Amino acid sequence: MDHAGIPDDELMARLCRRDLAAFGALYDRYSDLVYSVSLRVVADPHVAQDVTQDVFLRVWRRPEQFDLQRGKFVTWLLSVARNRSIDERRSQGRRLRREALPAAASEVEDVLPSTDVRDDPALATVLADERRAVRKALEVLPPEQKLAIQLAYFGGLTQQEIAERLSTPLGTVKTRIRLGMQKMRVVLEERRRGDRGS
Amino acid sequence: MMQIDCEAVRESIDAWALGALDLVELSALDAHIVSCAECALLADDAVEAAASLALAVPLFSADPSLKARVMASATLAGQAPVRTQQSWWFAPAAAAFVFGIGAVTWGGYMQTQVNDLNDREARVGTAATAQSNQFATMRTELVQVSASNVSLASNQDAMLKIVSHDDVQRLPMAGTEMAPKATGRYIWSREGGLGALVATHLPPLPAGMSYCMWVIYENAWTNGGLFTVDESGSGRLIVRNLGDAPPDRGAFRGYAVTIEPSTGAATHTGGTVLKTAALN
Repeated sequence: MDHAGIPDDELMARLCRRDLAAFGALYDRYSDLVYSVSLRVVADPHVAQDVTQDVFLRVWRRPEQFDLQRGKFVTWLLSVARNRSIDERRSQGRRLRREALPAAASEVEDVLPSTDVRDDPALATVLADERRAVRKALEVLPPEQKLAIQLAYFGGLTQQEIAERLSTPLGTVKTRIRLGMQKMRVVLEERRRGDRGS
Repeated sequence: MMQIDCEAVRESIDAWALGALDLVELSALDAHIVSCAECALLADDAVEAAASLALAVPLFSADPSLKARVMASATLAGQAPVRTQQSWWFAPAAAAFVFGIGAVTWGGYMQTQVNDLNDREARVGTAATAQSNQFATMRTELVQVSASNVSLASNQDAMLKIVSHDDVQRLPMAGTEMAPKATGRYIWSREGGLGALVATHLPPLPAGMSYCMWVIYENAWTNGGLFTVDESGSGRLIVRNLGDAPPDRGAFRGYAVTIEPSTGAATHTGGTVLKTAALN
């Protein structure tokens, strides 16, 4: 059965009824994104694949953990992937001591090919737009704000740990994170208003 | 335990959403969010913004063989009994909630009331003998507010206890046609044996009526306690004391809030104003 065009929420509803084909469709749709988020955090393709497997099996075993009222499925799924990856990163300890660096400096990006292949072109377009918007929003941030945010989100560091890592006062780190996220929200909101207006 | 106000939450909400707070800050902010509807909305926005960061990652493909592994594991897992929401609730549902009612008010709000009463008390004090009766009344009110503050501290402690447990769970609630603007969330810890309902934008109550929270099972609605709302429609309920469950209650279905007589209700009689998504 062709699942292209079926919304995520509908696929999740089918998942709750143990529809393995729906699960396969969700995997096809989002496995690369989940894998990429995990790879960004753990910086190890093998570990990232293990995390990806864990994340999707969790979706299969506990689909009721997704609550439509709390947001979009993809947002929830990527949060699960990120949190699971951070846990893995911490449990790996020294082996993954290489902390998250700004995207441009990541070794992973230099050695692995990028792809945009999807089973569902319409969905891929929507996601591509959203992805592009977030990246643009990040681009407008001053480098030091972007770095603090990335160290927190992808590196799993606390503000105190970021301050120590960057040899920067804690208050400065807090300000960078707050201003950076505020600015990002503004840019994303302007884009959404633009989408609604067009 | 560390306690923070709305201003401090606004300062730290993005770091909270990014997972960048230390444990002490995290506990304090969690406790505040579950007790403050306005900050809960801020938190939802911050979580959405933080989560969108994941969309910015460069895209890579996993090994194609991974899908076969995942599907094979899912097929095996699929042979097990289907897990539903009952599964995470079933254990605590082994003991049904016998609820204590927490008429909860909040620090800032109560402090304002105390300040207001102090001001009024001062004015009454200068109004001489003709207003002495009013002065006495206000002193009584002040004592009552002070007593409420003791209750407030107790309830905030309860909130902090809930969020300090690793098994803390949150479930959002949405308004029905009777109260389309209403929102709420129920947060609880099975380990802690405590839960808290925070609701906002509920309509004003008719005289003699209260809101009543219910735990919904397949075969029974269990009364969770009564609560009222302030002028903005915000209300809170602390749920304590786990008791024995009725054996034939059936599977857990969710939570709901109805309007019932303030004298209490053994079964739900009024219309539902809030419910969890799990309810049909």
